[in-house]
Amino acid sequence: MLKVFCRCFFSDLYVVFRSTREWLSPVLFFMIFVALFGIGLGFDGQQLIQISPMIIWVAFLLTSLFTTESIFRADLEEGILEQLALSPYPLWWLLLAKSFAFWIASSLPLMLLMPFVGIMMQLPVKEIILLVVTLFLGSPAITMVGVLGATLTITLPRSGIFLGILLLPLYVPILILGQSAIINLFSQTLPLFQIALLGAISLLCITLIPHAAAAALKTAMNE
Amino acid sequence: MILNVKRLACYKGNKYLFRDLNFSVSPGQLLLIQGQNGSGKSSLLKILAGLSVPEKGKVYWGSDTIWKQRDKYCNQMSFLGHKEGMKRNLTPIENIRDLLIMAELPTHEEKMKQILAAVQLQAHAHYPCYQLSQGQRRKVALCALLVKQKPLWLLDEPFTALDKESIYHLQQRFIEHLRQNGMIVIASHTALDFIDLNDMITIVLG
Amino acid sequence: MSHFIQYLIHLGTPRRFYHFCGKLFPWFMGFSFIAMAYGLIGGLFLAPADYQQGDGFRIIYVHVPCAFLSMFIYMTMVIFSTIFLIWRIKLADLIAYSIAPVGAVFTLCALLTGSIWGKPMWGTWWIWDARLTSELILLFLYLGYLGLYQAITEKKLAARMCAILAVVGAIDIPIIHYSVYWWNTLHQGATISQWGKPAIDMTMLKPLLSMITGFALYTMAISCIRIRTEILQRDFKLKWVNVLVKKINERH
Repeated sequence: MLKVFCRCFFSDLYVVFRSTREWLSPVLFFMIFVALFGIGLGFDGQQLIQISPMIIWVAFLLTSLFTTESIFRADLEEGILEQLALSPYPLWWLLLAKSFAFWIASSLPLMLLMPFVGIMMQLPVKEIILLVVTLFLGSPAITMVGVLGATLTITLPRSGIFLGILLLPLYVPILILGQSAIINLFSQTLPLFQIALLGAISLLCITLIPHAAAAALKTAMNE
Repeated sequence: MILNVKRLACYKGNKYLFRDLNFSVSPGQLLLIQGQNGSGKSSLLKILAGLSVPEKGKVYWGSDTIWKQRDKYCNQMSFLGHKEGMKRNLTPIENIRDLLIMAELPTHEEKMKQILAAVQLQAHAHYPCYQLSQGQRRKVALCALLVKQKPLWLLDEPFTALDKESIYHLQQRFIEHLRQNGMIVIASHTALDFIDLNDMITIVLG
Repeated sequence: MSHFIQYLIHLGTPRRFYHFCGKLFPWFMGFSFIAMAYGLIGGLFLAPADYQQGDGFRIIYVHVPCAFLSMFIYMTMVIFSTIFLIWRIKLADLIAYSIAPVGAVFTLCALLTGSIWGKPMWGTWWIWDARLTSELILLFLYLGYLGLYQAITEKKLAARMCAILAVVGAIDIPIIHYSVYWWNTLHQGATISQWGKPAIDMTMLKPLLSMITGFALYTMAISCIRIRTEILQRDFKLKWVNVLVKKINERH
C-alpha cells in the first residue's frame, strides 16, 4: 500500500520536474505579479509593508488557480487516469499521492522563494517567517480544493477562468484566515488561533477531498 | 476462473447500444468483439474492465460479480484502452517500471530490456516517450501488458498504428498467452489473421 | 407516514409531477399576489416612517425577502442535490436545476437593493461585511452551478458534478460568513457592521413577513413553470410529451 503510494508520488514528481516549463511557469507568474505591485507601490515604503503580505497571499492563490487547470489535463489525455482507476488500490489513495506530488511541485518552489520575495517587499524577518508558516499550513488546503475543482471540470476542454468561479468561494475562507494571521502580526502577539485553524482546515481537506474527487473521477470515466 | 457475462445492456447517447448480451470466456480462449464504429465495442470493454457500469446485466469473474471483488479482479486483469497510458516525460523503461511497481510485481531490468528489444524499441528505452510515435508508445504499453502477465487481457483496438511485422509478433504473443491458459478479449475491426480459429469466439455488435 | 411516502413515490414520475405542478401553479400565484399586495400596501403606505432612516427604510420590504429567498432556495437546492446523490432520483436533480436561476436572480436583486439601501443610509454603495460578502459568494456559487451544468455536455455527469458542487458550497457559505464576520470584528475592534437589521416593531414586521411569504409563494409558482418546462425538455422523445404537444397545437 505504502509502496504504491510512494511510486505514484515519485512518478508524478519526475513527470513535473522533467519539464522545466511546467514547474517554472507558476514561479515566474508569481514573481511577475509581486514585482508589478512592488514597482507600482515601491515609492511609498510604508504602504508597501502594510499590504505586501496580502499581495503575496493573493499572488499565491492566483498562481494556484493558474496551475490547477493542468493537474489532470495530461493524465486524462494519456489515459493514465484510466489505469489508476483500474488499480487494485483505492482511487482516493492514489489521488492523495498525486495531490501530494502536485503540492510539492507547485507550492514548494514558491515557499523557497518566499524569503527573497519578502525582502523585495520590504517585510521584516518575523513577518516573513509567519508568512511562510501560514502559507505552508494553508497550501495543502488550497491544493486539495484545486484538485476537487479540477475533477469537477475534468470533462471540459478548456475550463480556464471558469475554474476560478468555482474555486473562489472555496478559497475565500483560507484567504481570510491567512490574511488575519498576518494582520495581527503588527500587534506583537502570535496568531496561534489562525495558524491552528489553517492547519485544521488543511487536515480536513486532505482527509475528505480525495474521496469526493475519486467519486467524481469515477463518474466522469463512466461516460 | 471464467469470465461470464449475463444479460448485459449498455445505454449511451439516448439509445441501447446492445441488449441481452450473454457470453463466457474460459481459460485458453480468445474473444473477438467486432462491429462498426460506434457499435459499442469500447463501451463493452470498459464495462468488462469495471470502468463503466452497465444499464442492465452482470459480469461475473468466477462466482462473484466483478464489482463485489474489485481488488481481486483488478489484480488479475490488464486493460489497454484507446489511449496508451504512458507518461510523456518518462522513458519507456520508467513507465514500465512504474506499472510493475503499481501492480506490486518484481522489476527485472533485464526482462524489461528484453521485451523492449523484442519490439525493436531497445534504442529508445532511455528516451522520453514524447519522442516516440503513437505506434511506438502503443508498443511500450503492450510491452507493459506482456511483462505484467495477468491472466485476463482486455484490449481495445490493440493493432492501431502498428506495422505488419509488429502485428505478427503481437499475435504470436497472444497465442503464447492462450497456451498458458490466459484469456484475451479484443475489440477490433481488423481480423486476426494469424490466430487459429479453434480457440476464438467472435461477437459482432450493432 | 407511509401513505405520504407512497403518495410521493406515486408523484415521482416526471409525467405525474408535470400535471401536479400544473395544478398547483394557479394557487401559488394567487396567494402570492394576495400576500404581496398586503405586504406592499402595509409596508409602503401604512407603516410609519422609521425614526432613524425616514422613508428610505421601506426598501427592506424588497431587500429582506430577496436575501431570505436567495438563501432558502440554495438550501432547497442542496437538499434536492443530496437526495439526488444518495438515492439517484432524477427528478430531484431536475428540481434543483430548475430553481437555481431563480435563486441567482434573487441573490442579484438582494445585492442591488442592498446597495441602493446602503447609499442614502450609510453613505457607501458597498461594504465587505459578512452578510454582503457571503451574498456575493452565494452569487458566484449559483453562477458556477449553472455554468458547470451547461458546460458539461454529458448531462448525467453534469447532474452529479453540480450536485457535489452544491453540497460543497453549502458547507462553504457558513464558513465564509463567520470568518468574514470574525475578521471584521477583529480588524475594526468592537464596531460591528452597521448594515445589520434594525430593531423592528409589529406594524413594520407584519407586512415584512407577508412580503417574505409572498415572495416564497411566487418562487414556488415560478418553479412550477420552470420544472414543467424542464420536464418537457428532458423527456421530449417520450410519447406522452408528443401527445401533449399535439393537443396544445390542436387547441391553437
